[in-house]
Amino acid sequence: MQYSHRNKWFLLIGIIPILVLANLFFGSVTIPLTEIIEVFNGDSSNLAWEMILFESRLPRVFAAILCGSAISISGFQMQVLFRNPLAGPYILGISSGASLGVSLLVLTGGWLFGGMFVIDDWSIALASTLGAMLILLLVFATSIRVKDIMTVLIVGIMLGALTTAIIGVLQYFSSSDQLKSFVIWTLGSLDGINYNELFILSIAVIIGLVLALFQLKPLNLLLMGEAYSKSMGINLVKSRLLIILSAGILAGSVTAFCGPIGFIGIVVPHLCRVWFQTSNARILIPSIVLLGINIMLLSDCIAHLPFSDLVLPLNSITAILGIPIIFWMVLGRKNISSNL
Amino acid sequence: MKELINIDKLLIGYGPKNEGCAIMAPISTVVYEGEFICLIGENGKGKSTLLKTLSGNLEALSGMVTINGRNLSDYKNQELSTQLSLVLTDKLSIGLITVFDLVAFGRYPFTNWLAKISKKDDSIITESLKACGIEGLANRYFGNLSDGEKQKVLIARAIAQQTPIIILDEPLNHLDLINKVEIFSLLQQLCRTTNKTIIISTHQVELALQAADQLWLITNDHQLSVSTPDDAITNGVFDKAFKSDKVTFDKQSKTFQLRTNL
Repeated sequence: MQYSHRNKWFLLIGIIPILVLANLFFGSVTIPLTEIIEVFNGDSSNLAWEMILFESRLPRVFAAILCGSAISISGFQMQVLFRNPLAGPYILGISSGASLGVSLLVLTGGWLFGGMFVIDDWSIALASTLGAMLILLLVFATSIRVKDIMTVLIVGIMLGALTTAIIGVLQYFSSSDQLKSFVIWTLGSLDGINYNELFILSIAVIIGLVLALFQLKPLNLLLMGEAYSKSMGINLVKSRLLIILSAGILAGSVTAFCGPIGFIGIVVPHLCRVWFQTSNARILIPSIVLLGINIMLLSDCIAHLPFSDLVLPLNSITAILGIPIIFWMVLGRKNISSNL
Repeated sequence: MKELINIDKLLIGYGPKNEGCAIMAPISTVVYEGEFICLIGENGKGKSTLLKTLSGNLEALSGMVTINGRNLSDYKNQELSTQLSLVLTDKLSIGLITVFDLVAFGRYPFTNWLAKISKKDDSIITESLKACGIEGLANRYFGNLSDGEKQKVLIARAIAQQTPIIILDEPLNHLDLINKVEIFSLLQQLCRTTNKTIIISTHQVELALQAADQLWLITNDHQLSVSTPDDAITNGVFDKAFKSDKVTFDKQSKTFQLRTNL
C-alpha cells in the first residue's frame, strides 16, 4: 500500500511520451512516425514537415504540458483553500479579470490604450495578465482585511460577475470583427504560441509550482480547519496569501497565453483523489501535475481531430470531457464535499 | 511542582480589545505541570471562550496569560505549536486522509517544508497511536471511523505534537458512555505517565469529580471557582453552580440524583 502510488506515477509518466507522439503525429497534415523520428534526428529533407513539427506542434506540446500542470494545481489549491469541491482556478475572478483586459484591448480596438498597441498575441497576453492581476490584487487586499475565507470567495465571485457585465457592455458596442477575435480568445487554444512566449510561460509556471510546493503543509493542515492549522504552527494570513498568489500566477499566466481553459482545474484534482484514494498533498501534488499533463495532451490531441484538417475549440473539448466526470462525481459519490 | 501557565486578571469575551463585552468576571489562577484540569459549567457560560483565549485563538479583552513565563500574545504560531496542542469539538469532515497521516499532521511543527516524516517521527506517531489504543486503525480512512474512534485519533494527533499542554474543548460530546469513560481515563493516564498538563472542558461532572486534580467551575454569577473536587463538594460552590429544582447533588456518592418528592 505504501508504494502503490509510485506505480501509478510511473504509469502516468509512461503515457506522456505516447501522448506527445500522438500530438506530433496528428493534425491537419499527417506526418508519418518514421518521418517524425527522422526530423528529430536531423535526417529529414522535408522542410515543410520540419517547420510544422518545430514551429507548430512541438510548441503546442510544451504549452499543453505547462498549461495542464498549472491549471490543475491552481484548481487544487482553490478547492482546499475555500473547502469547496467545485472551486476551480478561475473561482477568484482570475479568468474574468483576464477577459476584461483582453476585451478592453480587442473590443475597443486598442483605442483605450491610445492606439499604442497592435492587437497581436503579445498585447493580448499583456492585457490579459494586467486584467487578471488587477482582480487578483483586489481579492488579495480583501483577504488581508477580512478573516473569513468565505467572504473572500464571495468578493471574488462578485468581482467576476462585475467584469462579465462590463465585458457585456463592451461587446454590445463593438464591431462584429472585434467580437469574433474576442470570442476566439475565450475558446482557448494552444496554437500559435511561440518559443519566446513558452519561455515566459514556463518561468511563471515553475514559480507558481514551487510556491505551491512550499505551501504543502498548510494545504494539508487546512483540511482540518483554521483553528487546528494555527495550533500546528501555520501563519494563516501568510499561507492564504501565498496560496492565492501561487494559484493566481499559475492560472493567470496560462490564461494570458492560451485563453481561459475550463474544467481541467476542477476535474483533475478530484480524479486524483479518487484514483490515489488520498487527500494528502504530498501524494496529490505530483499526481495532479502528472494527470493534468496527460489530460491536457489528450484534450489537445482530440481538439486537432485526428484524420481531418479541422480544429475544434479547446474549451469545448475540455468541457465535453470534464462535465460528465463532474456529473459522475456529484451523482455517484454522495459525500463529495467531505472528500476534499 | 513547576508553574506552567499563569493567568492574571484575565477578562474574556468578544468584541474590540479593552471595550468588548466580557462574559466572565476577571480570572486569576495558576496551572502547574502535570495537572489534570476539568472545566465545567453550563452551556453558554463561557467554557469555549475561555479555552479559545487560553489557546491563543481569541484575544483577551484585558489581563494576561503567560506560558512558561512568556506572554501568550508574544508567541508566534510556530512557537506556540511546540507548547500547546488542541482537540476541538467540531466535527471534521475529511474523507481521504488515513489515521496515520492525520496523526502525522501533529509532527508538522517539527518536519521540513516538504513534511518529510523521519524515522523518529514515525516512531512517535506509532507510540501516540498505541497510547490511545488505536494502532490497528493506522491505515483506515478518518472519514470511515466511528465518533469515538475519531476522537481518539484527534487525541493521538495532539499527543504526537508532544506539547507540555493539551487543551481539549468538550472532546466527549457525541460519544456513548463507554467511549466517554475510556477517553477520560486515557487522558488521566496521559497526565500521570507523561507529566503533561491537560485542560478539558466537559459536561461529565461525575467523571470530572473522580479524575480531576483541579476543578474549574463556572458559577451562576460568572466567577471561575478553582478548587480540588473534594473542596468543591464540601464548600458548596458545587450546589451553587448547578442549581436546579429537578436534581440534587448527593455529596456522599458524588452523583446527581433526581428529586424523588416531585
